[in-house]
Amino acid sequence: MPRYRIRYSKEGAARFMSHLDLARTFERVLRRAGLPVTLSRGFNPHSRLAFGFPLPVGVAGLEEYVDMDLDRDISPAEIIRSINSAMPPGLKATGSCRLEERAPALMSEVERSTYLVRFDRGDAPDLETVRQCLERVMGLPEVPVARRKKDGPPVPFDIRPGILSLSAREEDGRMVVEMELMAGSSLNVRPGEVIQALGERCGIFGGNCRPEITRTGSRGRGGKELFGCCSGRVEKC
Amino acid sequence: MSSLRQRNYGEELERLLDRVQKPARYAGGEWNSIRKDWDETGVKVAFAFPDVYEVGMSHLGLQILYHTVNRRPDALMERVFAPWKDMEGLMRDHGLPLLTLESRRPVSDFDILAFTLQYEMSFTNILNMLDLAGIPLRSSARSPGHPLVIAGGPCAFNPEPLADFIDAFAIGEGEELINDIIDAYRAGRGRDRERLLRKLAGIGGVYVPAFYRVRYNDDGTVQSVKPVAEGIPERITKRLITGFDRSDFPVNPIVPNMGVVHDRIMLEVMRGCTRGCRFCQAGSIYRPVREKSPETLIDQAFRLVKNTGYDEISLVSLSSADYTGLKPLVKGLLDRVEGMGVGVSLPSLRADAFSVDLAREVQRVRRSSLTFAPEAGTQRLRDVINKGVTEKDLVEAVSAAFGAGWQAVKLYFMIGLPAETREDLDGIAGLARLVLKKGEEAGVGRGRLRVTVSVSSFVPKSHTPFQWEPMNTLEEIRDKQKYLKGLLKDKRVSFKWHDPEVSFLEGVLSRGDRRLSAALERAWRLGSRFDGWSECFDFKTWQKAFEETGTDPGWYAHRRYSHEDVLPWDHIDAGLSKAFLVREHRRAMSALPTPDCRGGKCPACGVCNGMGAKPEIIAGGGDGRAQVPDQIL
Repeated sequence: MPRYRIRYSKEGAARFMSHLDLARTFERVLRRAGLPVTLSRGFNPHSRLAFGFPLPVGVAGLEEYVDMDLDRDISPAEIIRSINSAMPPGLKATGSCRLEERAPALMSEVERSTYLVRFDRGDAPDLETVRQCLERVMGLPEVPVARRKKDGPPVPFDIRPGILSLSAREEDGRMVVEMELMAGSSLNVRPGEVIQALGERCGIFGGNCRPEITRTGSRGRGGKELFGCCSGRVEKC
Repeated sequence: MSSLRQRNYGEELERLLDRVQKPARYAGGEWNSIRKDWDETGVKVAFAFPDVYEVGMSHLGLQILYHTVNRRPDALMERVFAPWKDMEGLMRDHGLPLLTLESRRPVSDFDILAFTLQYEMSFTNILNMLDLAGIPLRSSARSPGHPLVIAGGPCAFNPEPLADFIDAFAIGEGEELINDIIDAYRAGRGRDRERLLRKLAGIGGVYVPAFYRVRYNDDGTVQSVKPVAEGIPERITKRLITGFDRSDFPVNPIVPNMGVVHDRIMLEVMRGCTRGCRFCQAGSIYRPVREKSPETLIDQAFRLVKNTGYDEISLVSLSSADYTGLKPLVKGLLDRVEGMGVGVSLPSLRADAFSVDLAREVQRVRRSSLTFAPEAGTQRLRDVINKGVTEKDLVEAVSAAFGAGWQAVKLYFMIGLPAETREDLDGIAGLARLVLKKGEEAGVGRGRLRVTVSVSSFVPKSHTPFQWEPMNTLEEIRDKQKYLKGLLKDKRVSFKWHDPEVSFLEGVLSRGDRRLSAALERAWRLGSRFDGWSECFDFKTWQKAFEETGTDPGWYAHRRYSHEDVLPWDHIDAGLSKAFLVREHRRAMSALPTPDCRGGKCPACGVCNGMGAKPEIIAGGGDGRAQVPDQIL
């Protein structure tokens, strides 16, 4: 059974789809696209899709991934074309490649993600102050934030080991903070937690600010490219 | 106002979406949603569903009307739903008006605002949506610059409690009527509102309440509802479509981006129901029964699967197990779509072995329990309500279900039905015990066997043989619920009941008249919203609203009308003759059942003769099921 990795973006109205909604939507997209998706055996057959690390509701994603099995070989370009003919607004396939037989599962490969956090005018102080704050936080031995497990009480959790890099710049008069964070099954830090920590440690970013967050990409262990799956046979559309 | 116009509402909304629960409710951008060119399209209609997105998007009528209007080159339809409380709060804080999903334009920019009335408990949401849209609540306060506010759906069959808030009601099926209304709007636009409304009042099935005057007797009952102007009809007769098999059906419905209540293909196999249950308003107002052919349905289903990508087709109607072509349809559907990973489901089961067998064959997604609705606990009371299901049917059905591997059964009943006695309540508990016994006999494992008894409270509805009957008082309902609870102490039985206060309010509004508008408006001003949601419903608010407006709600809910009384909805003609309803009411009181009109014996309800229609039943059923007494869900 040939396996394929699809790269896609999730923006606009689609960024409000939850992970479960997204999985349901992909199943429907594939059926509308008429792709020969391999169905699971059993009483209630459904397509087997393996997604990467879930995107929080409201966060856009530029390079997201999903793996799927097809019953027969189809060219990556054709896969992209048919998927895009059936995607709702905001979702778009941007690449596809065939996976090697024993390629590891996407979820086990993903380790880190990069995010762009854009603040509204007036929600962030000047660039120098923000940069100083980033440096200060990067220099701390630990950065505990409150995390809640299910309905339990908040428990302090150190996110510092999960922050790989932070940088700030200005774009069109808006403050943009770029973050590279651990995003995998062993350690996952959410961009919202970093913003909260920055705000608390440096007294910047009001508690009410809702910056626009975009996940720009994800990588495997040690920064390994996730889309280099089939020895250079990557096709883009 | 001019500075408001320059605001970018879409962008403002976008900023609020990060702060609300389930932002996909407001985001739009679904597959098959349609956004037409605003400036190039003549008539703009906003379809308003007065409940949350997940409920509204589960409504087939929305998909049908959306398709009907948007296929016209000269009109467009966009959608709007009731914002949940969190979103409402943010909208009010930011001064953001009610926006449609497609173009994120203010609802007040549209020509027509069309509400659907599915449930009385959504009435306060209608007022809230009008207010959020910046449209005066009362029809009389609107000017030509405001959208024409119309409303249709089952609750429009007693439109009176909303008469002061709605400019025109659409009575009956909307497929053709909405086109007539848009045509009239096109021809009458630009004229003053009164002339437009007059034009609308001339369309069959349109009720413009402002043109009618209600007089009352000294005892508070209605004396008459009469037109106040020339050329306004005395009675408004519902619209219905004929040639149902050839009627236009949307094969490109909108596919939501979030989970909704009915998240699957809704294939309408027929409209109407021949069962004649005497409490059921839908069974009255959707007469006569009209079936589609299996060929039409299989073709539509195939296109629906390709156009939506759904993996489940639900065969919807008021009583799908009664559909004549069920067997060929199910076989044809499975042949055509099973290979695509698509399953078929039956939302309603009759209490008979045939239905259980069919459910076993087709149900790909094994629901953990099967549901049956005997509705009443004794044969006598089932005859009173004309629910043609016997204890034997139920025993056969549950035995078949347990035999096929189901371990849990749900039973639906009603309490507070006319002519109910203590014996009937004992009968409910007796049936629950009987089902348990059948489960034990079938060898369902200890600790697995479960019977759920779900009990709702009877609410009299307009245009039914029980429209004259009083509803039980709150105390009576509570006593009966308590009594049943005492009888159903078995650990394997779980007993569920409806909030009596919600049912009471439903009873007040369902048989209400125009004088209720004051209480309705006050309840909304005091904060009532989403009254059908237990986490939002507050009976005290309503009590306060009734008190402050000098309204006695019990007068509406508990009144027993005589057959001679003028009922508040008598000027609305659902096609059923009053003689038939009276006859059915009398037969009920003598516990005389009336046979299903599929059997060939016409009970003379008046719809076919009066409306030039006839039951459209496809040929070739012939498995003898039509005679089997049954039930629907």
